[in-house]
Amino acid sequence: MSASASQKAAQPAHKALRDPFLERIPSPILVGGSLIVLLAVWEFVVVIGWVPELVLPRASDTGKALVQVLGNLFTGGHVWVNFKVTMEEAALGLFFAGIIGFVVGALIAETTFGKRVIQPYMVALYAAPKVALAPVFVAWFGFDTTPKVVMAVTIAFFPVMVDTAAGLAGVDEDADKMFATMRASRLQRFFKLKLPNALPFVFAGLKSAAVLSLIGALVAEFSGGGRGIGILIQTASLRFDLDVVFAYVILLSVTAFAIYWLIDQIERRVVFWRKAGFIPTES
Amino acid sequence: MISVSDQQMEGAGTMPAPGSPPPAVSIRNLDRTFTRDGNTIQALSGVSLDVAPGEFVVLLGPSGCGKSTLLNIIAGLLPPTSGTIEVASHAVTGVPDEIGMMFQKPVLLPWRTVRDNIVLPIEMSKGRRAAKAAQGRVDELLDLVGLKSFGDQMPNELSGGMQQRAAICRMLINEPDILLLDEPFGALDEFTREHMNMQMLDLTHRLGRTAILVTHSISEAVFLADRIAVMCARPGRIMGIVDVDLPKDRTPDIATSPEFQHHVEAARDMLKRGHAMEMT
Ligand SMILES: Nc1ncnc2c1ncn2[C@@H]1O[C@H](COP(=O)(O)OP(=O)(O)OP(=O)(O)O)[C@@H](O)[C@H]1O
Ligand SMILES: [Mg+2]
Repeated sequence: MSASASQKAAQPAHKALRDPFLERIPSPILVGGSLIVLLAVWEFVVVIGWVPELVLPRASDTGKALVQVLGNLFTGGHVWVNFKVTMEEAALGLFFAGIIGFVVGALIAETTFGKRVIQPYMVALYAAPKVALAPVFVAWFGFDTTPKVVMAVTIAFFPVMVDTAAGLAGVDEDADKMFATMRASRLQRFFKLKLPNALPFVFAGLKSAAVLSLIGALVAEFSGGGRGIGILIQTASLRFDLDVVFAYVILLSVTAFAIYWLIDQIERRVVFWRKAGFIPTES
Repeated sequence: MISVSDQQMEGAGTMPAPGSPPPAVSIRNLDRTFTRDGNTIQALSGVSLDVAPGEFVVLLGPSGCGKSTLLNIIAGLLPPTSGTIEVASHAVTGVPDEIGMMFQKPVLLPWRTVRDNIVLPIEMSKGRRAAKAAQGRVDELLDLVGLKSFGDQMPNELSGGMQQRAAICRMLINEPDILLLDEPFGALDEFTREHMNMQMLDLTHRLGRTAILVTHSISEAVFLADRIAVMCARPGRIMGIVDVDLPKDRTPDIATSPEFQHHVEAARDMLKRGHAMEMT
């Protein structure tokens, strides 16, 4: 209390710019409170009939569906079986997207062939609506997990590739000159300067790829059948069980967030010097 | 007391006196042009300069007069368009063995400790094992620049001045004879900068190294130099040489002496004349 009061006294100029009321409320209460309000409004507009229930399920029904979905998930029911399939597809997708994205990105940044030949194709492919290829992959690879993984890789490797290429190319000019004065070989330059320099970028690409890989797997499930949460979502929406659909969407969102967080934690370990850079300047 | 040779009038550069040791760096009629978007920029034109072993030469001039270009050519990082450049009596084709270089930024790798940054040149040329074996030398160097207990810190835990001192150690680890310094302390505050200049002067004299340093600051040039090569732009060239015959062991209070002021005036005049020629 007193700390925030003294902070305010120290920054009179900022006081007018900020909402003093919202500034004073602790963040968890603010987020939690606004969520409750949001859920209440959601419930209310459906109950009094402003929005038909066929269009928007009640918040309470969605909550019940979510509890059921989670119950089934943790007791190893059909949700768990399908969840596992989707997760495997997304994980494999991320794995290959990471490897392919890194290699192609490195080729583009490091070789003339990559820059002059591969890059134009990648730009063209980047502009293409890749999700439209899902039926094609199903036709090519059948109804098991293969087309889903291929779809996941196809849309997930782009950020890894782009960020890797940018990170490898974005070396400080003076650092490059310094390595030249040390007569560093090309390999030494790559492994001792460019690669460590690119790591934060590569991780940023991997984080985007994790989310995109899950989306790719789902899209392929929609058009490919077989097993997976995508199939469950499709079935539920054909039955107009929108509350169940919402429950699955929430489940997948939380999962995607967890994967994102996990990669972020790994990044903090690997790219340790970045964290060390955040020395608090005001004590 | 003050000797000023004007290259514009003499035509040729400074020739070594007969019988003196071969110059550490010898530059003859050097030209360098850059082409950008079809425009040709004459970055250096007809530059000749000899630097004697153990000499401290400062390249002084306004921004864009080709100081960095000249230094990069000496370092073998950039080929000249025409003219000859020799380091230790050998024509420069790649980066010569004899040189060590420093820039305005310390460019320490943030993922390596200070110590591991300093041994980087050894690691590059002779491998990890040789780098490990050089730890004793690292400690000596850290001690020399007053960073004794900071070897195991990460670079971003150090202040700007300390980082630049670590960069000095990295430059010296392979014992180069010729130090090429491109505004090494230009990014530091004035107090730190003065202190670092003192240290650099002391270091080069004590270790008997040749140094070529680039700066914009006239007083810094006079303080450090045995000779100042005054440069001017469009085209980049050496206007003339100011011989600074002040005693070798200088302290900052020398700046108040009349001799020091004379040299400052001489350099300033030459810069002014160069600027006037640039306008016409
Ligand atoms: N790689 C390059 N390509 C094109 N032009 C260049 C290049 N390097 C330098 N120049 C040009 O050559 C001229 C001299 O540049 P240089 O960097 O040597 O100047 P400088 O004296 O070091 O300037 P400063 O004091 O600002 O560092 C400038 O006009 C610059 O634009
Ligand atoms: Mg420069």
